Amino acid sequence: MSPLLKNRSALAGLGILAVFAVLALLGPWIVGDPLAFVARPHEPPSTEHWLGTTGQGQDVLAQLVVGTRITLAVAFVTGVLVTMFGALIGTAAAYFGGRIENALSLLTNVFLIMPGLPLAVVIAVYMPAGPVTITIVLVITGWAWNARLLRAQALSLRERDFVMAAIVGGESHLRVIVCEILPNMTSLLVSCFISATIYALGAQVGLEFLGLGDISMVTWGTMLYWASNDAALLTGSWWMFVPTGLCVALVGFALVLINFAVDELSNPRLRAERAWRGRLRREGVRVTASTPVLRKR
Amino acid sequence: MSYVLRRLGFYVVAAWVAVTMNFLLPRMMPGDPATAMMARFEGQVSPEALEALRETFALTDDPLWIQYIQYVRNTFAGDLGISVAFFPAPVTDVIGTGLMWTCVLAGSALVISFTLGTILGVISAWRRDSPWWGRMLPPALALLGAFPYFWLAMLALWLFGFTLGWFPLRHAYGDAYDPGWNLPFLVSATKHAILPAATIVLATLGNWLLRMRNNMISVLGEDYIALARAKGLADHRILIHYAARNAVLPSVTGFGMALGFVVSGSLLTEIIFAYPGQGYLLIQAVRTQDFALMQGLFLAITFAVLAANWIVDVLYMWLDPRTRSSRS
Amino acid sequence: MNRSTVLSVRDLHVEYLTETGSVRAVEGVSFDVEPGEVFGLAGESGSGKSTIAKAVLRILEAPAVITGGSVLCQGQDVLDLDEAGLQRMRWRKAALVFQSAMNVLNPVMTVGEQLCDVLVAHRPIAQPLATDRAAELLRLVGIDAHHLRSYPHQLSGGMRQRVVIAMALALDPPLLIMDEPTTALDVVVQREILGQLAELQAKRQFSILFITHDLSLMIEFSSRIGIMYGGRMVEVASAGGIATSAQHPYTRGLLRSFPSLRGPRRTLTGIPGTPPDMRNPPPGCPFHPRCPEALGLCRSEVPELRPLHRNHHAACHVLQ
Repeated sequence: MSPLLKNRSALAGLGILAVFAVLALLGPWIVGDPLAFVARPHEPPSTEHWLGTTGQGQDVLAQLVVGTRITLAVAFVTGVLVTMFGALIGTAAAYFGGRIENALSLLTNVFLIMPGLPLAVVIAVYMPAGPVTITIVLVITGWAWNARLLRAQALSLRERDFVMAAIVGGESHLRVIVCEILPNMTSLLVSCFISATIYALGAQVGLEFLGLGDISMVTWGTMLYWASNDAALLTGSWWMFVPTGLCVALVGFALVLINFAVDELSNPRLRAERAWRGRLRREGVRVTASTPVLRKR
Repeated sequence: MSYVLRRLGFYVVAAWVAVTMNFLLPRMMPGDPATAMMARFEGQVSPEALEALRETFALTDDPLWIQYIQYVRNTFAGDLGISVAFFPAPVTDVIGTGLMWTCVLAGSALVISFTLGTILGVISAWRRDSPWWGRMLPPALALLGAFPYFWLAMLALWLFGFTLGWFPLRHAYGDAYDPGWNLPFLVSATKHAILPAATIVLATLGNWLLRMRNNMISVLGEDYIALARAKGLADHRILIHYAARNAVLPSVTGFGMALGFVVSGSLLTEIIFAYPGQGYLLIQAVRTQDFALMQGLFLAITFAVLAANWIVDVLYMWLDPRTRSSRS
Repeated sequence: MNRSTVLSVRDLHVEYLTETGSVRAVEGVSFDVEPGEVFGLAGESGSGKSTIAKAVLRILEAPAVITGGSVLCQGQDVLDLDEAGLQRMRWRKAALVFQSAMNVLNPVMTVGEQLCDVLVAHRPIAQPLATDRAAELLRLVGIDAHHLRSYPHQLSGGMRQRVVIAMALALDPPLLIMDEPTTALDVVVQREILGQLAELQAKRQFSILFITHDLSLMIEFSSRIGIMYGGRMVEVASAGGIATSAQHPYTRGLLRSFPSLRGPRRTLTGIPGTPPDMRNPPPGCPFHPRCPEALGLCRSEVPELRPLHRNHHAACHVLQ
């Protein structure tokens, strides 16, 4: 954890996330009722309403802050579930091999290749509108990506000596998977979790924009739904959608930064290369494709 | 050759899964979908719509497997039911109107984005030291890719359409023109496609670039690159023929999977621009609880994605000689 | 060093810069390769021998840095050359045959294209002529010319290695550097290839810098041998000299570790201990922690390579 904190990329990402976490936890107590009618609709930002009002006369800032909680909660929970399912199926496929692997691989590939949004739509319409439905639907459409990645890694780990030793030593299948294989995949699991959360955030907003979320709840996605419905573009009410999109992008970007950092940390070759480049630059030696000569004697 | 056939087999399986899901989903809910629809619409569903729905889903009193066979038969005969949103047009007709536009928009945006992203990725990997290519461009594009596609579309539409008036605001072509192979129509169609396509390209560019960049970096560490350098070959020859030609392979295999994501994003973009493709139909279907149309769209889009994947596989065969011949 | 020395390495130092400090892979290594001879470079993995092979052509990857010395390839110091000079000299003055020929050939280009590549890059030559020459090169190593149109994955391991050797001979270099050329192959194929190589070498009179960890193979194949340990050269002598009268404790330990097919049965003894951590090499002689004859001096002072008798050098305090 501590080398992560020293990495600039990770620090920036974590910082941004911390701000949103605070908003999510404490925000609703600070701002007013997001659904209350507070002023004329389509009002631009002013000193009273920093982000103006929606097409229904509600305070945009209040909605943005209150919506943080559900949006982020769904994103993170989905991220966790997607990673869990992906890990379970991916490692099971790698571990058991043979026909089980073929069947699970086929299942994974089928889900991977089906376009997510149409599938999400046809499942979600048969379920009651709301964040729980969205979570379930996102997990169904999103688990396959991680499963494939994790299976590849688990495959290479399965061949390693310590895993063979554990199997020969008589450990149960579950124990081998949970105690020997998974712990050695931590950096990949973390990376998968972050990617899954990024996906969940964007996909959630997309589904809610379509109207499949609970439109009576306040989330970033439903805000965009209402913005579109209330002709934000036609009336030039940019405040109704621009801040919301910026927030989604910021959170997404923060997660990407953390992912970059995790990638770098788990790849010692990259770190060594960086140190090498830094040293050469300091000595004034040009970095070319050939081995540099740095005379010390 | 067997590679291509195996892939085809896989796509057939995937298609079958999609059809089966369409069949099972309405039946997995408690009660009868018609009743559920009634509940949602609070009794406002017309008897015709109900009948149409029953027919579409082969909701008869026969045992499940007979219903299934009937449903599959219907699907392959091209009968996907009657649309509620565009009642009484058959779903296949409704989908047909939008399919071409989606293919044109998503297709062209994808090709541009993939090509541009891949080329930029190669440069970004080769010039890892330069501050722009190596250290600023990747995070900048990652940030761009973090915005939801349709939000970028909204921003683009508001900025360039409404505020600056540089591009048309909606639809695939101006109302004054006749669709067909005539120049004024084609010009208008292109003008209408620029903004939506640009949005999709911008949103997806970063993904291709980063992917190609990572591929290049790992390929550049391979032994055959070291040997190519030792042979004293020119930089550009190594870059293109030795590095890029190998690095592009995982990008192409990944293309198929990314296709699903890109198509999803482009559907939402279509909605913003009121572009008359599958996306526009999708939102109409959701708004009117038109299950038949939704499921029809799901099938159509899935089949299109599968077909595109297969085309990419054939292309891959041409790119990677290892898939062509059997090992000696 | 006489005028026509094909390769003259003097006091070469190579380091790998990492986050946690530098790894000193090659420390002050000097040796010469004369025209027409096979110079073998032996040592355990981690002794620095592969690093030297790549350093001669300066194709070591990051985070390697050459920190001192000179590498004179037919009189020209490789360490002083710029990119353009390096590109010109590579393959013409010295060619490289890698270990693991599996990954050494570009999987998406045919064998013919890869052979013609190097011909076209160094000489203005028309394509058909290049193709002819490529076919000739293949025949030289016993491969049928129709394989010009084959892809690497269609060839067996032994054939691929032959292609790599053919490629190395494309510009008739005076020096061939071979890094573990046959390690990945089975013994029978190994013999064939080395036999063919010996024939070619006798005919064309190029020198070979032959790098391997297989000492018995090297004794058979080389004219002179240099033994490396912990990044340093510890003994240099003729192959016969090493085989019969090795002086350095490490070399003697190595020889005792192999059984011989003929001769009396004897107990095999290895060398106790493990190779040094090159991040923190021990002070003084790198071998002293494992040396049965170590003196007090060995712990503090690095022994230099000194002549013991004609054409036999060793770096050991005990022998001096």
